[in-house]
Amino acid sequence: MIDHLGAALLALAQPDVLLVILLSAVFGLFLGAIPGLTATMGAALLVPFAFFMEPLPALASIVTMSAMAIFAGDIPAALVRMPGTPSSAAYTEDSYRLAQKGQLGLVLGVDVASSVIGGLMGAVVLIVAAPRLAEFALNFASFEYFWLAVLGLSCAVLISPGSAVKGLIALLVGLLLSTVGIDVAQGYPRFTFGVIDLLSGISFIPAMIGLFGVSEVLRNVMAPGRMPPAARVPSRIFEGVWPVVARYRWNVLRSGAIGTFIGVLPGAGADIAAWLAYAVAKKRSKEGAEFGKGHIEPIVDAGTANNSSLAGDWVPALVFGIPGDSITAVVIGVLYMKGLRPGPMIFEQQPALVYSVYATFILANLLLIPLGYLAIRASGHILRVPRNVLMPAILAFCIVGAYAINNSLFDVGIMLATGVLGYVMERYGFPVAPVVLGLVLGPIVEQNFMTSAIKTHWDLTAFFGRPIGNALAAVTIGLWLLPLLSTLRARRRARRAPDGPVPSR
Amino acid sequence: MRRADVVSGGAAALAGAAAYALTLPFPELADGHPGPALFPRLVAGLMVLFGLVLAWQGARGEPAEAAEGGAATERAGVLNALLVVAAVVGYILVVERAGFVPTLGVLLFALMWRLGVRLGAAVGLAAGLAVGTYLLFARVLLVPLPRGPIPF
Repeated sequence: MIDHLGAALLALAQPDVLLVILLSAVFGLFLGAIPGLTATMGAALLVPFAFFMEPLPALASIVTMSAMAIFAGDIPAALVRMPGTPSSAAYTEDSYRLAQKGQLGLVLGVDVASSVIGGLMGAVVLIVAAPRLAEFALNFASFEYFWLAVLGLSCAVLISPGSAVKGLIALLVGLLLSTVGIDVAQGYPRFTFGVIDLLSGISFIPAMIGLFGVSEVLRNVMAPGRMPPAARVPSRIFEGVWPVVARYRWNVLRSGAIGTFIGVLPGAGADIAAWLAYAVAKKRSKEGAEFGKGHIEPIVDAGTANNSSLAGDWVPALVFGIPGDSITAVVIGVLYMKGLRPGPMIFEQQPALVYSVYATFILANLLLIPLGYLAIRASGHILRVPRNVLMPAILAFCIVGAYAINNSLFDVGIMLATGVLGYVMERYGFPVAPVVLGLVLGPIVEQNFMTSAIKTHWDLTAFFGRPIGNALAAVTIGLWLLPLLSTLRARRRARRAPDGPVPSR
Repeated sequence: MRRADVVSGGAAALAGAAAYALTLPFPELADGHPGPALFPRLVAGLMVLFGLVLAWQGARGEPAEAAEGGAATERAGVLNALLVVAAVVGYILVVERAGFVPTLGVLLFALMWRLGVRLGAAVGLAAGLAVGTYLLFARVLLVPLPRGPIPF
């Protein structure tokens, strides 16, 4: 394995690949540091570039960009109390309040350190777990893939923060959109309304660019607020960081593990990892009551968790072709675009590529130390980039990106329609990420269900006839029952203490 | 009552019902089992069900806090968003006749000007960005961008 990693690092050391990594890093740091622009939007905007690159630099660019963007989201949280990406939202209040108490340097230093350590922990788990899981997954048939995809859909709804019903409706919207076009069983055109461009279905990449790019542009131009003035960043930001990390070493380990685990779960990404690590830290800490008032501990915890989830997200994406989060949903799109089919076979057929993904995670997280430092130094300038120039420019990139994949203006229309849809959904409090997961997982669920059903002459008991499939089915059905059980428990508790506070979701 | 949830839940239920209705003419498999209609009907049916659940929850729930911002900023924001949508629709309709650089240039200028960039700066930035995007995509990445009467 070490030999393979060494070879992969050498492959990355080509000047053109290094240049791509460096440019993606700068792009990621810029996007992450600007509130309102997210890592997922960055991944969607990178696709037209990835389209024209070799697979190795294409994947390396997305890995590097996402690692940088998730870290850089911490910078405006501390400076202007606005998370740069949703993944930094959990500890924005603590970061800002500590900065106001004169500890800005320490907060940013801890942000860098926890991101790097978390990112490297996630990378180690990816490197160790993915090939083993892939060996195991070689035994999977359509039954197992069906349950796995249903499990992914269930995770996407149940783990996402906010209203579960809204998450579910968002997922159903994605699933319904995924049924547009020729169907798998009979080749019958569904919901195409005679439009030839719709026969092949709704193009996934333009839809992503719309949902995450155009909807953000719309949101930003609807409420063109001014950025509050940022505090001055001190020049020494790594001073005092090591004692903090050493003091909270167990927190780092725990949150790195939580983050990676959330990453590995299909459909749950860095933002959920950060919230969960924050919640666990608050419960376990002696000073939990001080969280949210300017405490360094939740910054260590959630800052580690969000970066560690990034590599974890690649585990289901590479092993099963099921996205770990919305960034890896784009990655799966890129792999298909390159003629590569994610799944257990990719580890045997494209070992060099898989190892170069591992190596990029290590390289990107190490690069985060110098580049993160430079981004922090430049953050005052980045935050001053005027929105009224930036938003039209992003829209231009969205248009060209959506067009470039199939050279089709119809795709630009898809981008606009999904952009408006994403905007309206967010405005009414619906999360957008489940739409994307529905779009990606819908065909996997349907195809594997139809294949299995036709293969067994519609004997549906066959879905419960194989050990691994049964285990996956049990976990999935257990997940479905969880909300029901917690409601019943809450009711029983409320009945026992009729005057007590009513538990709320 | 949470009006937003009643409205959005009702809209989801209606969309689900419409999608279900559209699946009615879908054919069955040769052995009589549901084929192309099975999955969309299941999804559309669940959408009706959970749309109604959301609307019901909204009707019973406490009203949400009022959104911040006055009516004037709200109206200006809606106009900005409508201009973004109109700009993209205009781009789709015009770009193959007028060419990439002029169309994108006009789109960028219109948006920047509307969003408050000074006239001179908007012209310069829009032209620079349109040409820059063209060079990056058409020349470096070799995307065959739509051409107009002039070759770019």
